[in-house]
Amino acid sequence: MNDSKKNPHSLPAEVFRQILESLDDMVLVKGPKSKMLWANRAFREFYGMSEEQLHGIIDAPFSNPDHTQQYVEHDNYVYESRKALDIPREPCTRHDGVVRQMHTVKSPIYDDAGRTVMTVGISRDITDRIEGEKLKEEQRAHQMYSDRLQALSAMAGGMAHEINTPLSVILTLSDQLREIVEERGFDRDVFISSTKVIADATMKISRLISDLQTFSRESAREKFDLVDIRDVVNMTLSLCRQRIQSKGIRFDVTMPQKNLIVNCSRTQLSQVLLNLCMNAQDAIARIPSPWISVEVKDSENKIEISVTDCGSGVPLEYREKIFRPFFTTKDVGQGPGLGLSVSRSLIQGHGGTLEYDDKAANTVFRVTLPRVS
Amino acid sequence: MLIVDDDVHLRDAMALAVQRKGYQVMGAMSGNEATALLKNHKVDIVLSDIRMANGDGMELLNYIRAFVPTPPSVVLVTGYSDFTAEEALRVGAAAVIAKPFERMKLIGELDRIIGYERFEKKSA
Repeated sequence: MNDSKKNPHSLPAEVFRQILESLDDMVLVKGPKSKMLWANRAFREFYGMSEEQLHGIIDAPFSNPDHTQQYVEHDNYVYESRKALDIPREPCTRHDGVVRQMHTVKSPIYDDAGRTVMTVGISRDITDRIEGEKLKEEQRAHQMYSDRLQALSAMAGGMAHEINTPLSVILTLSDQLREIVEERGFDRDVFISSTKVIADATMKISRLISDLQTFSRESAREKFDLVDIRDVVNMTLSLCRQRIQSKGIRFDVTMPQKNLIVNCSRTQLSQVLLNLCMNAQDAIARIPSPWISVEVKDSENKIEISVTDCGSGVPLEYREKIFRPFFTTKDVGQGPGLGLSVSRSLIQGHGGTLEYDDKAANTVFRVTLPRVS
Repeated sequence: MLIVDDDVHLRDAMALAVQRKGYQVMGAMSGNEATALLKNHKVDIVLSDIRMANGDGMELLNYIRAFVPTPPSVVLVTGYSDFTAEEALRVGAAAVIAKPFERMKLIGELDRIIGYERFEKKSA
């Protein structure tokens, strides 16, 4: 290194040496055939060897031979390609036998004629960083698990309540019916009224179970048809328009004047739309001059159906929870709180999405479906 | 007695069950409705669901303990077991009954509370 003669601003070679010696990253210079020429202090300490001991060897005797083989292959690549090689992670055995993970960059060093005469490898020990990330990942997984457990126990509580109430009805009435018959024989009126209520209660439980089943895809598989989405929307809205308008709510529908074909289950899609409209109706019950609007839009390969009501959006603290099963803001007795979670699951079964639009000024729920034509 | 439940079928079923055993019954579908009734009617027992909108069972219990001059015994019915049952007993509920309950257990609990001995029951 006689550069100081050519360039007066250049530092003396001894300064470069001290810089290299002061680094915590390991620096290793190798000649042809992967033979070590020089290593900085960090490398020597890692290998527990002196400059003299390192000179001329390919690797330390305590290194894993497979690893050594890999280093040599990398060296050859750099030699032949004349390009730097970034190795994001490679194992390296320390003098005490502990294997550490390194991030290494190997670069060629050229002579005046541009030939590769040496390689220099710079390695940083990333073991602690990797372990830190692993720990963080484990903590995140643990947190997710306990969140899920919490959601599950809330769901179990809601479910218990929803099932135990009709069960109490069934148990009380059937037992009473038996007692009445034992006491005074068959009573037609009591029999008819009791069994009717028992059947209702049973249906309530049955509906709950079928709602829950839609969470598993298998049971939600219904026959899909190619239909014009506008027919489904019209048919569904005709079911609820009367009910909504009778509550003094303005109800607007806008749809493009052309066929919008989707592959869907009419009943499922209709169930979702009905649910969104009923949610909207319930949400704005106490707002003056209320309105709901349903808009169908087509955009490229998608069809969007938005149900908007005049409310000012879902309160911040509920946004994360509204799609969870058994979450409800409605009064008890107004359904178990499965509407949105079941709806979302049905729409996902169509390859679509159901989202709450948190950027809109009013309350907007949007269904997106893949379009066929 | 006063039966408070927002599920109309369960309220009717419970009313029928206790009426047949000689209790006189009024019904309410929420805690708020119940407190209104309690202002003008004297009852011995309030049988109420814990989980209701518009004044749940715990609120009703607390109201009765605080504001009703001769407070009736309060029996709470719960759809799932959690800490509220313990809490209810601690603040003075006469009993907590878990759904689904057997009719005669409910009657037995009510009889015990008013100190009534029923000799005709469960002979067969």
